[in-house]
Amino acid sequence: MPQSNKTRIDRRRHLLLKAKTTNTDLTPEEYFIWSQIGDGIKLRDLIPVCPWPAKETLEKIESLISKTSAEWSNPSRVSSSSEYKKSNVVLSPDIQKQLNEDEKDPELQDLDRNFRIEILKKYLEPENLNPYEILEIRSKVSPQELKEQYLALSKKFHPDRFFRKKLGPYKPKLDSVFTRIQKAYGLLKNPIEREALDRTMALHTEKAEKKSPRKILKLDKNTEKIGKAEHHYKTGLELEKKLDFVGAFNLFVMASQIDSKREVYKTALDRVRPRVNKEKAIRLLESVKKSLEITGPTEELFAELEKAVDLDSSLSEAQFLLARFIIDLSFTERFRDAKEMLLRAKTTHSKSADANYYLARVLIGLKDNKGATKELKEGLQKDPNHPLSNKLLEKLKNL
Amino acid sequence: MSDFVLGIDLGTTYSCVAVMEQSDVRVLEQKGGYRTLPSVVAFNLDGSSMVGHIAKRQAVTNAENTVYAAKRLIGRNFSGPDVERAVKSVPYKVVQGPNRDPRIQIFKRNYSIPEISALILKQIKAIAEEALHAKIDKVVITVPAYFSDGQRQATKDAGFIAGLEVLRIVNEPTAAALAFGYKKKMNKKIAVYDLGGGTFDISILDISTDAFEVLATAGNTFLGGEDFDQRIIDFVAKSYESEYEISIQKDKMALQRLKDAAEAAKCQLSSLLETEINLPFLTTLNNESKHLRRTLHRVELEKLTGDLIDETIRICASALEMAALNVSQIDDVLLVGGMTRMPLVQQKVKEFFEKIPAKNVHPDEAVAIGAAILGATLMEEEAPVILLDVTPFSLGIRTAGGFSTILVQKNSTIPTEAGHIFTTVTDGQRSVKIQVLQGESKLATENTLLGEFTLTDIPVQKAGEPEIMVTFSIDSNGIVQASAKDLKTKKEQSIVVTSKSTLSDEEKDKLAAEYKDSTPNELVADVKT
Ligand SMILES: Nc1ncnc2c1ncn2[C@@H]1O[C@H](COP(=O)(O)OP(=O)(O)OP(=O)(O)O)[C@@H](O)[C@H]1O
Ligand SMILES: [Mg+2]
Repeated sequence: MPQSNKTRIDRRRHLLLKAKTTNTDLTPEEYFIWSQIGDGIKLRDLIPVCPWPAKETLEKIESLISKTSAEWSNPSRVSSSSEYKKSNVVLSPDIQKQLNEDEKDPELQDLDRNFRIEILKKYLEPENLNPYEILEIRSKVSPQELKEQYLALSKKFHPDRFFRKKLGPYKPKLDSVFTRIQKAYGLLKNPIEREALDRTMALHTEKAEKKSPRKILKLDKNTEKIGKAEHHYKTGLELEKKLDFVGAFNLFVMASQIDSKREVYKTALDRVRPRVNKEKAIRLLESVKKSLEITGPTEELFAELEKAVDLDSSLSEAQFLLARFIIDLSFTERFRDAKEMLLRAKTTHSKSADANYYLARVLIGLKDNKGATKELKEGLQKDPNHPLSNKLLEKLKNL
Repeated sequence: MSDFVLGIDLGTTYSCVAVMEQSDVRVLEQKGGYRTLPSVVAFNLDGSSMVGHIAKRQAVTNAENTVYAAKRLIGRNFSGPDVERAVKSVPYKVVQGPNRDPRIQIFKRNYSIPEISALILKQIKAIAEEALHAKIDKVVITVPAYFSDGQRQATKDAGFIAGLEVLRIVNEPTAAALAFGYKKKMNKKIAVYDLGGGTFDISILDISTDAFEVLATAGNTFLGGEDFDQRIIDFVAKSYESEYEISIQKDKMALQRLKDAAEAAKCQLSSLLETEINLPFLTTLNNESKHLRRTLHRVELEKLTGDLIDETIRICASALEMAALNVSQIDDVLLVGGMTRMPLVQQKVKEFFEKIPAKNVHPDEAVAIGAAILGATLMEEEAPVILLDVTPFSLGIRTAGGFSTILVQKNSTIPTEAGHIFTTVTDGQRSVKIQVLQGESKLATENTLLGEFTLTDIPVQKAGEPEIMVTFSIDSNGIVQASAKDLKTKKEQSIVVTSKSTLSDEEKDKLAAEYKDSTPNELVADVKT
């Protein structure tokens, strides 16, 4: 009941929620809340950042508490925050999980545990961090400072540093961490690219500031992002229900751009992608057909068509057109593809003799005159007056 | 097995080996005081071989069975233009091998190029073991910075066949820079100009104390001392032939003598202004011996070869441009490779970079020394230096319409990786062929085909439905690998290399076993001439 919920929240508004390390599997929602808690957060600050109605949020918090032995405490009773930090290093479940697995691998004991944590933290960073964030550096740094920071990070994460050590599962992680660092630097050390990046970044923050006056709530960047991603995702789900697949797709893309490691976003994307591709393919096909009337077959249109077929391989009209393109523009090396496509088109357009006719032309191109004759005859059975087929058959006979 | 790591400069014409002993690095000498070993392998009728000085010395009388400059063929495609060029100027016979690789035919046996290199490596190993009184199996081998993936892989294979563990394939100019800057606490931008017997490399590096960052690299793997020699040979042979109306191009022994004389003359002209090429009884015509005797002036040599040097300078300019630096920002220029002893080379480099090249670099030894330093640091608990080297070519894949889509830009720092999502074009397609390319051209056919990878066992689905992420990585050796993952099932997808011009694993194993017990020839005992 809303009434009682409200009082419950009111009563605990000022209490501090503390999380402890955890090994249990959390639902994505619980994980989200858990990630918000960090070193401790007041309930009144937590509720507004969660994308769900307050009631639901509260239930989720309860279940999280039961699973992780997170606990409420009165902030006045926490003696000092630094002491708290010492006793409870909060590690994300992903990191904790890997560390637990490491215990079973004696070879890994060679690699300092704190360093393993560092690798994991860097490895698990969201994929959409900007190059400055990847290099853990302010956006205003001088080229010299930038280089120094890059070298410092390289010294830490360069795979060569541990050449002799058995890195086990950390080897690919280290490689990918180093690749990220090195790519971020590769971009920033180029003054032209760096300037372009700065410009787009400035544009984004300007927009964001205009839209929503800065939240009073101070969250760390990561947490804020996870919240945003979750919000996009939920809105996307609603659009999907209303069959607005393109809209939903865009929102899922946004969500997974923010947090590329969340499986639900990827699953959602995978679910709507074929629908979106279908729509895109149809639109492409329509535009090609229009241009075709004006320009006739060109290589550009060919590429567009190919895109349409790539997007939706069941769009037989596009395949049929594409095959005709291949013939008309005589892309001989693609004749085999054309044959495939026409064979398929033949089954969907079973009444028309067109597919047979073009198939015959491909077969001639592939030096299979017999097959071509057969195709033409088959086509003429469907439509005895098909003029092109008749002509071609005549020609074949004379050969 | 000892913990020594040999640093091996496996050169086109000369090889050199160094090692680090308690923070002291030194070149290992052979008996007789030689500090470099000719990269020459000669075969006897019974299949046994000779390597180094002895092989070089008997070349005149046994030209057809003496292999030199094999590095010019390593890891290349038999049908490429470079192999054709190389084959023209050598006395031994080159045929096509099973993987479209060139093979050298001697006494009816076809030797792969990595095998020839392996024989040189085995000799080097023996030299080192004798000098260090220790068993050795770990090495770092250098290659020209401008070597492609295939050439690097083939060099690594050579190490494997020789029974060596190749800790790293490292670029020659980078190694030279390491020899120059290691433990010197310097902060400098340097250019390494490396003109050897077969190849030219230029690398621009930024040294910050113990970090060596390559900013750009460029080069030509077919431009070196051998080409200078060839110019002299052609010039002298032409005038000889027009004088006596006989061709020496077909007389292998005469040609070999002329080649040796040309190289000697070239080297002498680095310190003298004039020299004599004197080859008595070079050929016979109507039972009458003809002699070749003429003087060659330094100016003549410079006229004959000036354009080769100009070409290296052009490549230097492009490397600087890629590093986004101008000449005044370069603090030091290093000259590496025997050919940099030629005065005109030194002069043109000095003019271009507007500074006198650094003095404390040994043109023949710096590369091996750098490799030895790298080898030793890799063996330490935590490597005290880091090399941030780059890949010299862009890495791409062939896409629809015969184009190349670039995944990793040239001059990207390695190790690195890049991914691309592949799908199928017909329903139920179970495999996808991926062509991996190296090079800068937009057209696939104009790039080097590294190999074909085939994704297999793709789950049966409609066309376009599978989404397979293929990750291409370039490791610290500059060697490309591919791995694949089905994005939907999250399963690793198997990838099979279907075509690469390097040796197959079976052949490598077979050769390694075969050469395991072969002993290198007696270590040279006679005195340096
Ligand atoms: N004094 C000299 N003057 C001119 N050229 C010389 C001199 N000494 C050696 N060379 C030439 O230098 C070349 C050998 O150089 P180096 O040993 O550095 O090459 P390499 O390492 O065998 O080849 P690469 O590095 O191209 O694989 C030969 O062509 C040799 O003739
Ligand atoms: Mg060399």
